[in-house]
Amino acid sequence: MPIQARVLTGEHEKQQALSDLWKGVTQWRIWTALAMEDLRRRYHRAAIGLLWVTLSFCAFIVVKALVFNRFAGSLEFSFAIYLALGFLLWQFMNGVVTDGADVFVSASNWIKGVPMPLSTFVYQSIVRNLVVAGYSSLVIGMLLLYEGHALSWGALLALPALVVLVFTSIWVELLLGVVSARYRDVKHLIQTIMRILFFLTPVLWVPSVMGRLGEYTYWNPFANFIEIVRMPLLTGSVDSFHWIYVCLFSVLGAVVSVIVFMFSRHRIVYWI
Amino acid sequence: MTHLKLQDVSVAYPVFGSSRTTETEVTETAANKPIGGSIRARGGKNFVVALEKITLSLSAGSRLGIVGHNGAGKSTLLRTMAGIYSPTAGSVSVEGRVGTMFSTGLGMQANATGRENITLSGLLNGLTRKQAVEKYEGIAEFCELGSYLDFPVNTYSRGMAMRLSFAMATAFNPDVLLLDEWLGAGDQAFRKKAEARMQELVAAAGILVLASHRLPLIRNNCDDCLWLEHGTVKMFGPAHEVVAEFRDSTKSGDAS
Repeated sequence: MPIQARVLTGEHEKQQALSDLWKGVTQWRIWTALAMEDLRRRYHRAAIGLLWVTLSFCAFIVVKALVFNRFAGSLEFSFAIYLALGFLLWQFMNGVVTDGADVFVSASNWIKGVPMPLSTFVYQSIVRNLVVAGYSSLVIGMLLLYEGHALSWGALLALPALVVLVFTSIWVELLLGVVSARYRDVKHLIQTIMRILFFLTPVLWVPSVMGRLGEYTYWNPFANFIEIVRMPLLTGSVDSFHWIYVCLFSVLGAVVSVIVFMFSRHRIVYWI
Repeated sequence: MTHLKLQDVSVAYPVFGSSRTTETEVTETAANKPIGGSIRARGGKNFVVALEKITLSLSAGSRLGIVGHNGAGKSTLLRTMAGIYSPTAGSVSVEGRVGTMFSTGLGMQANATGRENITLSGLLNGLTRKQAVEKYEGIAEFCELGSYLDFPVNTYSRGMAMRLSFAMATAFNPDVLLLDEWLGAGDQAFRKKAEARMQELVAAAGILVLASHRLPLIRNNCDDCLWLEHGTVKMFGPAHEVVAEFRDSTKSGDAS
């Protein structure tokens, strides 16, 4: 591997932040390994290991489907599938947001000890959450079979939606990671907000039967991200409003996040 | 060509959670003792100026020791050389693969086993998983930890963790080896072995920078020595001279 001379000065900090993001991507071996290591540790000595994710997701869906059925009204699709998809996406986004608020602080051991791109830890966290979502999605597969729900070609629209979701997750973690490393209240604030937002996001209920709450729910970015994946899988089509919202949100957020990172990357090590 | 150059490097960092609140701009050090960097307060915020205007140039074959009291800036200087801290002013230029060994537990996954950590450090050094696994034998042999490598690192003693850390830092043919005082945690047999490994790396056109409170370690392994005080260069010169001066100053300091 050729080694180039590395020059560090105060003036190069912004370029270094940009190259950090890219260098992190190229070192994919390290963040996939770290993510798998995290999961191995979390389910260490558990006989069925990661299948606990599937099992607890399954139990949650069964109970919630029975309890919240009455909020569904009359639907053209299965409420259980609606609920399972919504909760899967919520769980992923919630994981990304809460991990993001800790992403650099919890990696201080590495950041202070080894010269490596800081974005590594963002990618690590995304992979970890994706793997968990993958295990949960086994339940979706079983549910689709059980309910006899046939997917139409329109369901393929969920694929670009997932790409946008992962892209957004990256900048969300980057931004929250920086801000919460500097201001330690942010992590607690975010946990509180996420707990409230869960009830304001159409996961357990369907907007059309919730009156005012249903009308305002699409101000909430989480609701729109859920719809661009969930609607195509349920109905084969998706309202273009959700896509426009999501694209604007994603692009604007990415710009803000990268700018914040450019100005703060070199200081993060002192904050953690 | 391997080199490590510092030009007028200063590093100042903010301190949070300090009980000091000073509104006016002041600069002070720890009550006329050679401990710590200088503390600067500006607008109610405290900064520690850990390094101030350090200029250094090391080329292939250089062996530099760093001495100084607690908080004189030794670790900050090493981290700045490694690229972990970026200089507030001045510039750092490094050419070559950098190997680091800083304080206990840094750069390791504490709940992972020694074996897993070896794989991770291989991946960090740009190897594939297969290549990293191939490095295992050599590292295991050097650190002599045997079956302990299948135990989590947080069950290791300080000396054992140091053995693993040193073996990993030197296993991937670093051109620039940066070592913090921790090396003192090893027993004598391992220290001998570690010193031999350091010399090998320097002989292969590498650079060694070693910070330690163990003066004989510096004298035996370094050609030049930098004495830091309050983040500035107090003295720079041949290792035996600087070490002798530094020792005299600590002795007279103890007497007072």
